[in-house]
Amino acid sequence: MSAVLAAGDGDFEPQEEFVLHPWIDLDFGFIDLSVNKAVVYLLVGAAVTVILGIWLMRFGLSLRPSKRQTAGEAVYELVYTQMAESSLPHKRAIRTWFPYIAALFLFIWVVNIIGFIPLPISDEHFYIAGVKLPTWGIYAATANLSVTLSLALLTFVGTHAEGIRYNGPIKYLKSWIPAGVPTALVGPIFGLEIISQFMRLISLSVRLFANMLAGHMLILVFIGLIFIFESIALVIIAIPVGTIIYIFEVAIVVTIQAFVFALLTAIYLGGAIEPDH
Amino acid sequence: MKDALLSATVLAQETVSEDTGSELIKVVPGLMVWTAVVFLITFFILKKVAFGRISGMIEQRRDRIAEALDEADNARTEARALLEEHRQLIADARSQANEVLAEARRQGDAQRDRVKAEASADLERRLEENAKTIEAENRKLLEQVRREVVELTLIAAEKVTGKTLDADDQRRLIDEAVDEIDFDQIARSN
Repeated sequence: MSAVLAAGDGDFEPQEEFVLHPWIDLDFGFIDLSVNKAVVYLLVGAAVTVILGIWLMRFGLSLRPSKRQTAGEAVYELVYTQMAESSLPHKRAIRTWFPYIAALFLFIWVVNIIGFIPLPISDEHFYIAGVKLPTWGIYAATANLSVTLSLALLTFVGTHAEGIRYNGPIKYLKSWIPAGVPTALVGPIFGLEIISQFMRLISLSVRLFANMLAGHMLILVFIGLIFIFESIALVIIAIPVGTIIYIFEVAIVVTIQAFVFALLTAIYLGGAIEPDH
Repeated sequence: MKDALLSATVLAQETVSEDTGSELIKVVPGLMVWTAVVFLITFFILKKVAFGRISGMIEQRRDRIAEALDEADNARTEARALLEEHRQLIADARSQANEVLAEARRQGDAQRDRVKAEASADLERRLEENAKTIEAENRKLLEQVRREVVELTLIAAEKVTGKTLDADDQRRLIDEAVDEIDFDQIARSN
């Protein structure tokens, strides 16, 4: 949003919204753990996820559920039946991995949705009566590749760790080779399979990142057109189109992307725990 | 408008500098660590605090629903049994009522027949008794008439003969006279 406001000066760079500047410098040399906008959004997202989870699923529960409890149970049942139960092979695996899949779904959904709520968390500032205030803007932590890659990496590690734990390393790696493959092709197919495992990591992370980034970019570009051309007539096109994209993102993309990420996590885990499943 | 959109696109493309463009796909290890840590903390809190509670509640409700369904099944079975029993009772009651009615009818018929037979027998007995009584009365009356006739005859004979008969003569004469009298004719004429 600050990029949009800056466009008034004729310098419109929506991608600037996604550049991370350190707010609290925590560079340890071997790793830079500086707090920046994405970290703050992650922390806000985590806090909201925890509060939402506790609010929906802990307090005031009864056998005759309130609307709030019904919503909590709907989320729980959605993840349990549509993801965990349908993808994981047995009760033991469901019991172990359901909380992870549910937390992943809720966390991504909340971080996504927060990304479409204008908040005063920005690198840009403005002054009112001499008081420095942060510019209100929209930004999603999941529109950052590092964030989605990190979540995908957790799934990746968890998947292969479970595959090895349940099957043993040899049987697990053997399960990557389809039955009936000629001996001469075992090596190349194994190599392809290793590549495909890493491709899963990339596809999982890039899908979420690209969708969220594209949504934000589209909204910013359409609203930015008004300021670039300094034409109020463009409001007739830019605002409705921007609003439609915004509604589409909030109503559909946000939930679908969280659902797909969590569902694929469950499928990968199920496939690793019981390769024949 | 088309030109304006085209120039906007060109302008947007021009403004994307190489530095900021690469920022979009830059992998920042520090941010990855932040993400993993923040997510794992969220996961542990939710696992400990939220999921267990709602899971327990859902399980509890499932149990209650299963219990309620079982109870409903039992109640339905019991209701069916009761209905069957009720129907059986009604059938038994009807059967018993029919039996009682038939028995009452049978007893009524038997009693009526017995009373009828008794009345008939009583009537016959009474008629017989009456006939006997009448016959006895008739005999008694005829005996009396005969005696009176004999006495009158004896009196007449004494007057005619002027002598008195002894007892044996009297007896003989009376018997002869009485035998000659046709009492049946006398009775018919009366």
